[in-house]
Parts: sequence; structure tokens; C-alpha cells
Amino acid sequence: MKWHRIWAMVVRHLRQLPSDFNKLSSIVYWPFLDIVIFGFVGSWVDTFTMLDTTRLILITNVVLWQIVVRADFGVSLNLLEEIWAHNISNLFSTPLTIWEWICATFIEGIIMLLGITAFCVAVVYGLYGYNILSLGLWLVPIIFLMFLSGLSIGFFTSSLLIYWGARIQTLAWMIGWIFAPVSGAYHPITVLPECLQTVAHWLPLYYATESIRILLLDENPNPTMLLLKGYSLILVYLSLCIALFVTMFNFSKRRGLHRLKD
Amino acid sequence: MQLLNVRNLTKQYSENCIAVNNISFSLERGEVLGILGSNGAGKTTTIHMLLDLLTPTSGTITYFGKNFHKNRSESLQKIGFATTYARLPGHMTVYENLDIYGRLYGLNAHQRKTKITELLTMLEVIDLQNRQAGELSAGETTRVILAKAFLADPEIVLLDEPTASLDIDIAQAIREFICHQRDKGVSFLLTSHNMHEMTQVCDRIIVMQNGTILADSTPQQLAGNVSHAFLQLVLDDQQLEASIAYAERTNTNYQTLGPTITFEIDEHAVAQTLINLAQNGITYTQISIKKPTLEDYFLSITQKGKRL
Repeated sequence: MKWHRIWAMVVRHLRQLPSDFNKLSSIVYWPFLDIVIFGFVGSWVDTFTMLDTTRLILITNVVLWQIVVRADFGVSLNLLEEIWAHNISNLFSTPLTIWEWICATFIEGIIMLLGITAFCVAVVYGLYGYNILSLGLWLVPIIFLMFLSGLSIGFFTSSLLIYWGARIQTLAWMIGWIFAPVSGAYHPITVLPECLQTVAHWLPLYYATESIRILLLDENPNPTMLLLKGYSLILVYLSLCIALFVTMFNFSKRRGLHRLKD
Repeated sequence: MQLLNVRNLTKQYSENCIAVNNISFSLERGEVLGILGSNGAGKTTTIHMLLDLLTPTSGTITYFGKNFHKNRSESLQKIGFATTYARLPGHMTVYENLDIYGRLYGLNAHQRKTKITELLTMLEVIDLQNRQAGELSAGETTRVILAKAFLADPEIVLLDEPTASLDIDIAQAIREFICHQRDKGVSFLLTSHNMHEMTQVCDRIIVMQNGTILADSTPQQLAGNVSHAFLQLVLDDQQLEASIAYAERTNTNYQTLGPTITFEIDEHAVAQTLINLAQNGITYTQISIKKPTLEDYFLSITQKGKRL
């Protein structure tokens, strides 16, 4: 692996950002709208419950969910952009390897993560006067767990896109949201049927959102065990999803990467 | 010195679909090797296997004396590729796009700037460097992608239909650019439908049909395999009738178009035919003799293939 090739791919996608209205709007517009809608829904629910925690939990988890979705889109849209641009043949006829492309996606994801987190924190503070960062250092492993979950979903989706191409591109927007109901981001998983609760327990996302609840509700919060479970799962899932992506990339090469056009 | 050696390369998609069937060839330093063939002959499939965009079913590819699949990145560092069928990300400018490829090949900032400016100037698209790639015409995109292929001073350049769908003057400029690069020692492997282009640019041509190599020789030798020539005469009406009668009497293939008759004869029998026409009292106002070309050879073998 060569660093200059990894960095070239990071630059390629970051450089496109300012002039790509579609991508820019997906990074800024949807998180903003989600925070506005669920912030006010939470405020409304708090008026019934006479508590002030629903809004805080909802807003914090919605922000974290944006990290999942944007990390997911970051991977799958990076691939789709190359397919739409008929650029796959150009890229992979250079010395660039698929592992370098994966590393570049990871680095770009971290840069975007910092940007999106800062944007969401600022919006939440501006609209509701609530500083998410006041949750302290526990936020770091929780945010990173959400980020890795998003990457896993993104690599899973991309493993389908790299084989079937743009004709299944809708999956890029669909697959991530399948996990929303069982992630615990928008509501506690206790409201779910038992079978879905079982599914939730196998998802690292649940351990991240549950950790947020503990941080907001407990007097002496310590989500260590939850996070350990979450990280154990995500390491397995991320490894499997990346392995699947590389395998599907090699399968796709058997049919020819040149056929991946929009 | 052989820069590329291909041995028994095969691509089989299914039991009934063999795109490339056990082909072998090599490319020497400074050589321009053309792959000629009709649609579906296996030209592009071969190029894609040579770039690792498509995994071969069997066979070996050796670049610079090393196995390609074990030394993929090292080999591709010295190989440029351009195709008419690819595009570039439309939201970035021409310069930004080429800059990314310069980075992928490991050029530093100064090298990238110098090389991009030099290539865009040579290909007469320097004025487009700040234009978004999505706004370019097909011809402009082809020239920018061609510039991409030469960014890292490659030793081998693979070109897939480099002048397809381009205006005549632009296509000629690109052919001259290729010849200029060849003179600097770059080796080329290119596919094209354009026989004139292949004759003008290639030192050697491989003719492919149905995934196999039918011939591998110089354009002149391939054309020399066709033994017939075309003798074209322009005559008045009376002489035209006499010449038709002569052709039918001597069992010579001919075609007429207005006052013109074209005889298809053995290229060594041109002089004798002219003597015979004179002896039969046939006079003409204009004469032209068309020697066999690469196109005639290609048509002769592909038609033979169809008959088979």
C-alpha cells in the first residue's frame, strides 16, 4: 500500500465536495432537518411527561444516527460516483489497489465525521441551547462506534454495488435505514416486539444509543460494558463486510469492471 | 527487448461464450502494435485483461519480465491507458482531474503541474484546464483522457479506440501525437476500427476474429496477402459497352457506375489487361489503379470467416 495513492483518493472526493450540490446538500440539509423535526417532537413529548429528557435523548441519538447514515453514504456514494462518472476503468487501470481505496474511504470518512459532528453540535446548540459535548469523553467511543457501524453498512451495500452496478443504486439509500427502527436511535428498543429486540441486541448501534441513554439518565454513568459489547460486535461485522466487499470486487473483475457504468 | 509477453490468454464467460481464445503475442520496446477486428472480436476484452480490469480465465501476462498479477501495481505504474468509452468526474475541472491521476502515479506537486501543462498544450486543450470535465465535448474528453495516459511517462500505453467518433482533424492530431511519443521510445498497443489509422501508425498488426488471432504481421505484409487490384477506367458509352463485353468474354469480375468500369484483377496482371484492352480497341479518358490495402485484407479474411 502506498500513502500517496490513498491520499489521492481522499483528495479526489473532498475536492469534488464544494462543487457537488447533491453531495453537499445530503451532508448539510438532511441532518439539519432531522435535528429540527425530532428536537421539536421531543419538546412536545416532554410537555406530556413533565420531563426534559426525551428531547435530549432524541436530539443526541438523532445526531449520532446522522453519523451512521453519513458514514454509510460516504462509502457507497463514493463508489456510485465513480460508476456514474464512468471512472472505474480509469481508476483501477492505475496502480491503485482495492485496499488503498478502502483505506482512503476510511480516512475520508473520519474527516467527514469531524465535519458532520461539528455541524450537528453547532445546530443543536444554536436551536436548543443544548451542548452535546457536555456529555464528556464518553462521547468519543460512542461516536466512533456509530461511525464504524455506518462504514460496515456502507461496505455491505458497496459489495452489492460493485457487482451489480448502478441499476441497484437505490439500495445505497435504503439499506442503512433498515437498521434505524432496531438501533434505538429514535425510540428505546423496549417498545419493539421481542423478536426485534433480539435483533437489536446483535447490533452495535443499540449499544451506542443505550450508552447515550445511560449518560443522560444515570447519576453515575458507566457504559463500559455496553461499549465493549458494541465494539466486539462491530469488529466482527466490519471485518466481514470489508472481506465481502473485496470478494465481490474480485468477482466483479471476472465479469469486467468496465461494465460498471450508469 | 520484450516489454509485454502474453501467453495462451483466454477469457471464457460461459460454456458457449469464449471472448478470447488462447491468444499469444508480444510487444517490443518502441513498437506500435495494433489489434484489428470487428465488433466482438475480443480486442477490448484483451486490453482489459492486460490492465487487470478483467480477470483472465487462463494464460499469463508478463510486463517487463515480471508476472503481471504478482506485480500489478509495479507494472501499472509504467503503463498508461486511455479509452474513448471512459469519462472523468464531471464536477471537477480538467486540471483537478489530471492532478488526482498525477497523485495516483506518485508525482510531486511540481511534476504534476509541469506535466499537465505540457500534455494539455501538446494536445491543444490547455484552454480547457479550468473547465469542468462534465462540460467537455467527446473530442475534448478523449484528448484529456489521452493526457491522463501520459502523465507518468509510461513505457507502454494501451489505447482502446483512441480516435473513435472524433473529427478528422482531431483524429489526425492524435495520430501525430502517438507517432511523436513512439519516436520518444514509448510502446503502444492500440485497438481501432480505422484501417487508415492502423496503416499509418502501427508497426505490426494483430487481426482478431471470434477471440482468436488470425494474423500477426506488418500492415504492408498483410495487405500484400491480397493478390487482387482494382483497375478503374472512365470511358464514353460505346467504349463502356465494349469493355463490359471484354470483361464477360475474359471472365473478369467488374462493376460499373455511370461512365466508370472497375475491373478486379490479379495485381500482377494489370499491365497485360491494359495491353489487352488496347488490342480490343478500347480507349479511356481516365485511369486509376488501386493497390490492395489493409482494408481489402481485413475484408477478405473476415468474409472468409463468415463463410466458414
